[in-house]
Amino acid sequence: MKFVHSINQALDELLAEYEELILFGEDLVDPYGGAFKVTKGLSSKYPDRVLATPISEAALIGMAGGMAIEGMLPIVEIMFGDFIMLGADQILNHLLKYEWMYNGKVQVPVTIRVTMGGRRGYGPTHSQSLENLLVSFPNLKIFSPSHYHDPGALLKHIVLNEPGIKIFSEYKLNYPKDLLDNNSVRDGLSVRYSTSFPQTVYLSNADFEQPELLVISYGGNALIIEDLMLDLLMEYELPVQVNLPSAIKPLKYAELVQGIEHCTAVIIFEESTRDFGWGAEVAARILEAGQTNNIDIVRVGAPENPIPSSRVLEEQMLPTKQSLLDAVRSLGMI
Amino acid sequence: MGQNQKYYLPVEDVNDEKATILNLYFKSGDHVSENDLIYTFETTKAAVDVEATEDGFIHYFVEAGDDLATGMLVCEISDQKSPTVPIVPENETLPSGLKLTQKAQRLADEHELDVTGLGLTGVIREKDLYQFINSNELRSDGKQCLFLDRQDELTKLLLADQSIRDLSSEQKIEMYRQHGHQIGKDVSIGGGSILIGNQIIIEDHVSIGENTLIEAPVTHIGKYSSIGNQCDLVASKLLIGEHNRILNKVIIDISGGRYDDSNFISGKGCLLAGETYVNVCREVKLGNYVALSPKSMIYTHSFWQSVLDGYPSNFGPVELKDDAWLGAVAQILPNCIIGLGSIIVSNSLVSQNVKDYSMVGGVPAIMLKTNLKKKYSEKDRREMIQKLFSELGAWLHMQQISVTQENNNFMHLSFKSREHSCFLFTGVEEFPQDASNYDIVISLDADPKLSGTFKTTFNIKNQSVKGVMGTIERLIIDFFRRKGIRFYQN
Repeated sequence: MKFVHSINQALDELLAEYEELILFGEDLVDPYGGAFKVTKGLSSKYPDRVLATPISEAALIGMAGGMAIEGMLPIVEIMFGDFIMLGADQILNHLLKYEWMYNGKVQVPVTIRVTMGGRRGYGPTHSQSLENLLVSFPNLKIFSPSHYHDPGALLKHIVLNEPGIKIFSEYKLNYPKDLLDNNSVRDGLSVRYSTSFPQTVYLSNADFEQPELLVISYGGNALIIEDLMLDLLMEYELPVQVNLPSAIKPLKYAELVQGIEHCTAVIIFEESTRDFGWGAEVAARILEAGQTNNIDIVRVGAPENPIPSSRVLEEQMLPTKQSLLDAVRSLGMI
Repeated sequence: MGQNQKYYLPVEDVNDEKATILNLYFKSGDHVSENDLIYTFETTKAAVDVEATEDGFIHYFVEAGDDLATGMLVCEISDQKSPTVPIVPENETLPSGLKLTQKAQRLADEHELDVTGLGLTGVIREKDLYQFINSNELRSDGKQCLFLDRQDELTKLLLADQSIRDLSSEQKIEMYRQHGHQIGKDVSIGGGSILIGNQIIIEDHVSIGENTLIEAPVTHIGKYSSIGNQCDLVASKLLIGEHNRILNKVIIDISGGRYDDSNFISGKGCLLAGETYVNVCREVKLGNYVALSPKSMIYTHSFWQSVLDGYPSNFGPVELKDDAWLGAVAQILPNCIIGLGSIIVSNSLVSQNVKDYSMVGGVPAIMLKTNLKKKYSEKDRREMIQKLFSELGAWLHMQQISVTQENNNFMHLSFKSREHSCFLFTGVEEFPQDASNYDIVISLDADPKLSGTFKTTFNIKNQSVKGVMGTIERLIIDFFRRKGIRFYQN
């Protein structure tokens, strides 16, 4: 099962089961089926509830808010996550505040699906990972599955069980990836899952024996991290554990740092700009929990620079496996 | 280079990073015409047919059923029957599908363990192999460092009497032979130079320069190797391969402390240029044809500040695989493996493994280029060697040799009233009637068609030179050496 098919199937099942559910966004009807083909086939099956909208993110998010207040269950697709800033006012100043302003008399269950991430040569305005901005919106919940998660199951969980406004962030390079679990994981790696939803994925290159390095990240970053783990295994036998929460916010702290007690270093890895971001929040939480005795913390992320269209320059700008290897080396672990 | 058109797997769908090759409609080497259907691939959306855009011979680089990343080479159509694209070096995997971590590989090599028959699967770590190795062998206290036996009669004498170093080469060689060491023929040991050790083997045609000290319990120097002046070569085992050239002021030492593997091992045809420094606190192994450029350094230890304050203390072997080239003043730190045919740019600091056929550079060194090694077609190789042959003529002329170049494959050379005929055989030429009279034949590949009684035969494929070795022959060796093409006497 590929990542894109898992989400497509989950949307199909949700539409079949919940008549109040409505899915809309730009260009997502057949035959095009959305820029990343996530909604392919759905508009043919549910022509009244899978709709293509005009190009206005503010309108489609505002509209979703109104529908939600009236008892519908809207899912909005933002074609490129970068465009969500056009609807930011609706999210921050309206949808996120309705429930409080109307003293709990209205509920606003809106799910906003966005694509994030670069490495496709889409240039400065179609390649960003804006999770680091969105985490600063008070009360906004953000989820992002890796290819070790079950993205469809996660989407269904948040649409049905998480109240309020939710961002579901889909990493572009993940779409064509086969989903992995303990049976299909690459040789040398093993995977475990936390028991409660939304699940945290734990990866290890040492069968979860005494990791020396903990890497905390989320979503599509797992693609780079699994290569890193194999390099560190094959060349150095450095035991690494990786924690990939599906909820970027709110953080489930115990799951986020599971295994930290064995480690001498933590690397927090994100494709968003490094400074003032999610990684800073995770680092602060570890500090506040007093778990930094003899532990080095390093953040790896992008510099504050637009992302070039040229694949060669983009590779220089975004954090890569080499950036992570450099970080591991700077920690004196290899 | 002939005409050729390469066909890469196109990106049909933004979501597809790979596609499946469904059908190949020809066999490699077949002739195809424009608009012939050459292959079909399947994306998540549809099957797509690809047609030839020109006539020629087709060569496939994939098989039906392969999952291929978009942008990868599927086939090429050229006017040649053999493919023209570079070799892609394959990753080392054992036939059984087992993969060993580097630590596990090292342990298996050390204990000569055949990992395929152990019932292990997937990735094998060092600890997975412990159960198959005698536990006594594993503890480092079970191993012993190899020290010089100073009570050995000759060693005692050499350490006590410095003046022995100034004996003539013949006297010193006689002395070693009398004490049971094996010294071959045509060996010279320069003034002020001495070898101290318990087991010394020097093969034929080895020369050691002046004021050089070689001190190792076990020393073995392969035939045709030379060691320069003012070298200090100290190790537990000093195993120098044949045809090595160790130039002046080269230092091999055990600073950082002797360990059970404080050995220096080099393969065939290695170069250690002037003022090279090799630290063999742990084993340093050079494959065949490895070059260490001037003032380059290899370290097998790194430590200074206290480990109790969190500082590192690293020890580990270094290996340079066949054809690797360490640039001038570049350094390699412990625990690095330098891949086959790789290049380390001058002044670089290598702190991690270098992949096969890649170029790295900088401080610390980063990957600059990959897939350095190319595979040319036979036809291209023939054209290239013919160009080199005419360059050789021009170069010999500069070396005050009178050259008359008759054609792409033949020239007359004349030096100090000696006349030479020099013939280039690339595998396709017809031999003239008087072929057996050629003095010098340079052959691209060993070929049964190449027969006759030549005075000197250079064979590029076998890297061999046989026959008379005069001034011109040495100049030819020098010319080709500077193109990375080497000839060795047997």
